[in-house]
Amino acid sequence: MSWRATARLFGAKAQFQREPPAVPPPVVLERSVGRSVAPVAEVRNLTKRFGATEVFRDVSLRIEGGKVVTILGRSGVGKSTLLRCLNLLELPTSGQVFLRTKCVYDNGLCISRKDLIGARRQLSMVFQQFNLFQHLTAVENVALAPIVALGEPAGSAIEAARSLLDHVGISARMLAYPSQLSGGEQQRVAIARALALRPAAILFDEPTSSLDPELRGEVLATMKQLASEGMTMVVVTHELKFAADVSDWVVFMDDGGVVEEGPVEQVLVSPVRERTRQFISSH
Amino acid sequence: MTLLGVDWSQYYGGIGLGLLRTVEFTAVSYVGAILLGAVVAIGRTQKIAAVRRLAGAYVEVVKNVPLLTWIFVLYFGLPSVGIRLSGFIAGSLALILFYGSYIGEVFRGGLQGVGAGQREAAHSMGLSSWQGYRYVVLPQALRLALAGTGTMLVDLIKATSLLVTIAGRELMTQGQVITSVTFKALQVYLVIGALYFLLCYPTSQSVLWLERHLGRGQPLSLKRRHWLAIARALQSNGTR
Repeated sequence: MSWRATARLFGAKAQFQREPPAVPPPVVLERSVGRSVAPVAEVRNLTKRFGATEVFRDVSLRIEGGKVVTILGRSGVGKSTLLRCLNLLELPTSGQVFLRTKCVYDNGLCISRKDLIGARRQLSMVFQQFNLFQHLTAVENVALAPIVALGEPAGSAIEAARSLLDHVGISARMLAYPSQLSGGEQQRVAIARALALRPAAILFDEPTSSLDPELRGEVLATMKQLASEGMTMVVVTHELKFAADVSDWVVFMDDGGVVEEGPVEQVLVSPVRERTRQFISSH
Repeated sequence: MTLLGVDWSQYYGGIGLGLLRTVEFTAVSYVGAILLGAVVAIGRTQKIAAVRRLAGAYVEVVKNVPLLTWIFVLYFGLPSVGIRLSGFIAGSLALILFYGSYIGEVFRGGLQGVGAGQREAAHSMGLSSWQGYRYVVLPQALRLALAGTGTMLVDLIKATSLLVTIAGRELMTQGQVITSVTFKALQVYLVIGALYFLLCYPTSQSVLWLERHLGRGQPLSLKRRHWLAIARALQSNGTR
């Protein structure tokens, strides 16, 4: 019996194993500039079910370095779930997930937990509810992972954290606790926190959805700034204008998976599919 | 010294020993109950259903039977199966078992009060499960559990008085001894009650003070104190 067949016996539960599964890495693309690049992350034929409910089926997606990918769609079509499957906060039901050239998930088989912890650092996440650590100051929120997970000395990590807060325009509030910050400020701290791990990409899960309209601007501006600096970003959002402004690639999801994807001009300006058209005209 | 018609000077020694014994019972039982409570709370928040149920069953069985029953079972009951425990051991053990289940519930509340988002954020940043527990969940859970755990300490001090039933030689037992000599139950027990009050009131006030003091990010560990000091120094340099 092959290991894949064995894995299926265990159903949807992923098995953690010591050795990463032997699967050929994604094809390395030759770009026009002559530089060979592997995608930062890639999913192939990803399917996710919660019990009997299928969230999406057969989704394939490449996240290339330096690009901004936005994922659009109604609430509840699995956009966030797809994002969470990318860094395996949520385990897919089947399919494959690659980080760089490493296969971290293959049809129910996952790399060992220890390797997974390391792999996750390559993709940091910004959450809808910010999820800042409530008992730590802004600057400690940013410095915690570098100190604890990467083992950096506290002094330099905190100094780096201060410059990151400076970068998102909030270093004056570095000693404030999350409860003392506005939603927009909290989300900018969360972005600085995501940057602190020097990730290959940042995943944004509806970063402005829980913010008052007047606070969204500052967060979107920070994200635009990151995009212009060449940060690889995957953004689940409802902000069509933001998507139009910064995306290199737009993915539209509806019930069951990806309906349409392509550059902004295609998906947002002249969508091919009827459902995409409806979605865009309703916003 | 004569107070309420009783000459207390001849009982100083006994009362002193009783107080000491009460404090000993409290200290040993509280530390034990906290350790047991931590185990119970961790058990009740485990993924494995069998562990969760076992811890849950323990809590329900212990909590729904009077403490006095457990004291009697351990002290008077066990000798019939050949296990003879001293008053101190049996008493402490009963208190640990009983308060361990309550404190376990308080701790569980604290752990579950820390939102799933906090743990998720820790994981998404590449902290291991243990690191997430140590640096993110525990510091917040401890603050949430502080009030309940403190109340349990005050409750425990008072509950040691039940050990009078097995001649625990703590404060209440001393009261009984003095009463049996002086026949002044009202006066003696009022004074004993006042002594319990003098033990409990400052304790509960200290707990309230701690609660207010640790409410916001006050560092709980030396490591965090160090981080905060670095951050404060950086900020004052930056604004100069």
